[in-house]
Amino acid sequence: MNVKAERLSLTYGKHEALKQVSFELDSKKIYGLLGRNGAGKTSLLSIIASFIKPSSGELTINGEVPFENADIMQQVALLYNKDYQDETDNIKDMLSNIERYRPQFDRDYADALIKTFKLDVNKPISKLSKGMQAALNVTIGLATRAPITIFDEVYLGMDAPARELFYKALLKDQENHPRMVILSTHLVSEMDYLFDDVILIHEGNILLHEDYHSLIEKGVNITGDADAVDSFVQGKTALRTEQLGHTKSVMLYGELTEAEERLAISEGLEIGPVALQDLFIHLTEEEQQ
Amino acid sequence: MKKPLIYLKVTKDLFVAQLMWALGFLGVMLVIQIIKTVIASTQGNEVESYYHSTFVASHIFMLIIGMIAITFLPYFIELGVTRRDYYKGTFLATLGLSLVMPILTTLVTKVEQLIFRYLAIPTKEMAINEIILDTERDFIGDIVQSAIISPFVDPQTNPWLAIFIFSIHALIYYLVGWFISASFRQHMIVGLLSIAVSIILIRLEDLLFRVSLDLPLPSGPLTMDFLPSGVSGLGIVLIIGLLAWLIRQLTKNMTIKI
Repeated sequence: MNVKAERLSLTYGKHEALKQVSFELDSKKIYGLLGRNGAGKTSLLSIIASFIKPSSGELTINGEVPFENADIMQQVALLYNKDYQDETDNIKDMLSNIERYRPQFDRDYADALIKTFKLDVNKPISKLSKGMQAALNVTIGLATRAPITIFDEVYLGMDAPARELFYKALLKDQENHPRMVILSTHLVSEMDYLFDDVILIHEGNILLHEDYHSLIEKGVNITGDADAVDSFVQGKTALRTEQLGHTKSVMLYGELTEAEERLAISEGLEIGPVALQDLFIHLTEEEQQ
Repeated sequence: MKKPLIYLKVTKDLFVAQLMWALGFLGVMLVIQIIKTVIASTQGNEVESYYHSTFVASHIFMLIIGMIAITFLPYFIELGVTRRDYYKGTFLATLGLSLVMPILTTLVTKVEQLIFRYLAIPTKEMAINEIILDTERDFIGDIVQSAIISPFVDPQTNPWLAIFIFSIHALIYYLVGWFISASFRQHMIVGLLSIAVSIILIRLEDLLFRVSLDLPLPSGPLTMDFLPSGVSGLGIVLIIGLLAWLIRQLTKNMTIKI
């Protein structure tokens, strides 16, 4: 599958939710779509899933505009933190309905996930707890096996062990049935190991789209004697500074050259990786300023 | 193997779901009818037919389920169904329901008439078509009348025509409900406008039916007694077409908010 956006914009009245964004996704990877609240994540995902028409620009999937395209719309599933308060069907009936419309839906796998999440299939969905409803969304998203599967903050309401089960199931299913998965989240620290690629969206613009490992390598943690650290980081972009006694740790943005690495080692400094979450916070804050 | 058409799946699913609601509605009406019959016969009064009671109440029923129809749009889009397939499926399901409901009602009425005849229970003559002549003319009064006492044909005199009239009424009221709810999804002002348009269309449909069935017409500027009945039939088809077209225009690019 290939998803391509060219100068894609979405406006609600005077508010610009997306500002001429362009990007291309073309692999069976797990894409992490990161952004702060109101950054435009849901707007972008809604366009990909044909929930909304863009105001201008173009989005294509496999070269075709997905909006009202029956063949393409069947290939895209968007799962989100849905309000089920009026849903009187039980899980069993709901899955039977989905099975009728989703060609790749795997009912056996759905049943296995239901057991994993310990969901009551006979209870009306409106009576399930928020966490159970979120687990149901995860189950639907995984078992639908749509070639483009989108989870928009779908984990909301799930407790930590349930989220962990979701991440494990996602990785395992991605290994057995590779597809394009887009995970929109701001639980970055918890989910970063899932991402193959990272797309950072901020105030309606795409700030970056990079391979996870390349992005992580753009940040380093320098730890050691406070004076040595201060002299080493001079002139570099520091994201965060922490100090305990005479030991200081500074997070830098930007790759170190080999010479700089050698210098750090010779000064007795430790070089460590940075977390994606810290880069995310820094990059979005910098833009804000 | 050829893939089944998606809109036909939508048709089947919506037809079955709405038929279940309709059976519930007809069942409740039947219970009410039995209670009414028992009370009337113990007091020695005449009983109105099941068809008549259901015909009147079905307008409100169809209007309500028409209003619910718009809630299926997000459901189907989330399943990867296009707005076009949702529209076609919903329309076909409604056509089916508009036909099945009057058939069931007429069948129950036939059985009821046999029982009444066997038990010698007197039935009330249906005269709602005459009521319009006795009422003072005022706009609001006309609207209420259109909803409650639409032109009516007794199934005893012509069952096929009775089924046909019931079907057309049911379809129009469903479409009006769907149109109003789709309009409110666009904007509150559009929704309010749609209510005004619906009132005019229902009033117009009521008058056209009276012309085509050769029923008594109200006097005044809206009388339309000059129209030949063939033209008035065409007018009813045009009203259905206009409602269907308006609903499609409102839903074809509808946004699903999450």
